Amino acid sequence: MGTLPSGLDTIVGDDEYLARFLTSSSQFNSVGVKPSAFLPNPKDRASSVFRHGASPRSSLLKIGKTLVAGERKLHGVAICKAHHIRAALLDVVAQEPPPKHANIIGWPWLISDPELEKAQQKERAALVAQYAEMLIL
Amino acid sequence: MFEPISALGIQLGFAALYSLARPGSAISPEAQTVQQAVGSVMDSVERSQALFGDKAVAISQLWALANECNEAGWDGESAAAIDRQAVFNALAFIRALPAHVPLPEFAPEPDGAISLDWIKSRTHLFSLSVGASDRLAYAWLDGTDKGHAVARFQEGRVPQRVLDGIDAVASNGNAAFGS
Amino acid sequence: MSKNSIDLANAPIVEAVLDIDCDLPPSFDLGAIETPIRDAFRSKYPAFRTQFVEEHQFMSESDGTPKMTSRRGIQALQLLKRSGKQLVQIRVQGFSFNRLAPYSSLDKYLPEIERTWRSYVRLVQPVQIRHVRLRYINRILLPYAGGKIELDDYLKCGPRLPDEDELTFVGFLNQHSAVELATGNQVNIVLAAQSPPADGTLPVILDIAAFKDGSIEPSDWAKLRTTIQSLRQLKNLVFKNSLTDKCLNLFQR
Repeated sequence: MGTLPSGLDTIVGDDEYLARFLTSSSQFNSVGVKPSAFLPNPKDRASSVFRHGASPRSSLLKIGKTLVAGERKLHGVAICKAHHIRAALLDVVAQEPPPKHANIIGWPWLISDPELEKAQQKERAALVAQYAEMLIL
Repeated sequence: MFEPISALGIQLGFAALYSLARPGSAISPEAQTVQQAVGSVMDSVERSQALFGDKAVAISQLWALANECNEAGWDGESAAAIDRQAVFNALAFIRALPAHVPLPEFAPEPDGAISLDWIKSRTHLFSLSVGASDRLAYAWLDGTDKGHAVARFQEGRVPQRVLDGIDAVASNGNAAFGS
Repeated sequence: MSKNSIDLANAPIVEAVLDIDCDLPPSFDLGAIETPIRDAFRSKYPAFRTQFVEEHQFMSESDGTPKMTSRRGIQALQLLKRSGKQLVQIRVQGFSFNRLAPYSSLDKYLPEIERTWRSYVRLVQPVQIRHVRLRYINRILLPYAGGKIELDDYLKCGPRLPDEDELTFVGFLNQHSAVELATGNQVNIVLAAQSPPADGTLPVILDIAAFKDGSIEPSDWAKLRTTIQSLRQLKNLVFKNSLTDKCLNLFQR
């Protein structure tokens, strides 16, 4: 195992907390995080997360505002553990820079049938979302 | 005298009229007459709070979401702007939902589609994507049961499998059951 | 002749449409196939037009500012005979064959429907047929004697007013949807009044659309034809049983 510039291990451990920043209030409700909040970006086929838990809140917010939201409003953060992602037959791999950044990868891709691809992705996203804790900002 | 009602594929509400009010493949002036007559009936329905009030609110929410995410990068990364065709398809879907079906919540998706969600709890939900095509991708969690499929939304009729999926996680009222 | 067949000397059909909706290949682009389509159909359908669809949405922002959005796209490529009375449509959802008045018989048009359908399959390569719809739009001119007409004399399933002594119709629109239990075929029936012309008749539109959802291989013409005939039977049943004998006799002259 090696060490990244952030000081974290190159391998994301199962028990590590991961933070997914939410820039729309529609991405969650009073029940929790909606599945669509975890869907991958079609350009890089991954969902961006940061290796950070709910606390300390100040450093979490700093990451969200400087590295994700920018001028947009940050509405919340979804926090889950890496093993929840792996249980959904996905994986999470470190991807720096920026510091502490990782990607959720392993999403189904079916160029011949984009709607079936989306359906498969939604199922996996729902499996991840059910374990995510919601921090409302 | 009571006319028999079939349990097969009942089109409740105004779903059948919505498909007649849309431009179709017939070109005669008489076809236009039917379309216009049905269209004016539907306009009148949509002005009614009792018949359409909840859907009017949902449609407003949908447009608000479309405006919120109308530029690429709305997620702080490289998400696509919500596709205009996806918005029109979602509007048609909402209109086609039978009156007894609870209305969904909406969420943006990074490929420009719109997610329609019926969420009872973290482990009981039905989530459907509306994009630019007439094929709907959906997935569900029902405790430890889960699944996904694709169905086609045509002729202004919501596929029965989709209605069954919504019904399985919803009973009455609106989608945010946990609130 | 079956019990649901109709033989009218002067049928009131103004338009007959056969729609075959299909699953299309993900790469299908209606605009991109315009040239091969026009080439394939030009000999019998020399006229061409593109049907666009435009949708405009108006909404009010929270501050009351109106905002309009619109979208425009190709709905169909239409290929017409020189007379304009018969056309083939290549639509975003599938194929259509339209015949306007004068209309003779579906039996006469079926060979041409088959021919054009096979051309469509060859060029577009649909994956599967999902939905077949046979729609007949009839315009029935009811005699309007002395400015009054008794609709029940002509329509078996016509509209009713709550008080027929004190009230009189100035217009109506009836719509029914039904399923034929034996076949599973469904039908939408619309009965609508049109504005009366000055010739002392009341035009009533009887719009019957019989349809079936299912899966048919695009190359299986025999099964497709059987489906069309089954829908035709249902359409005829609805037509015959929607009108009185007095009304049907109007079409024998």
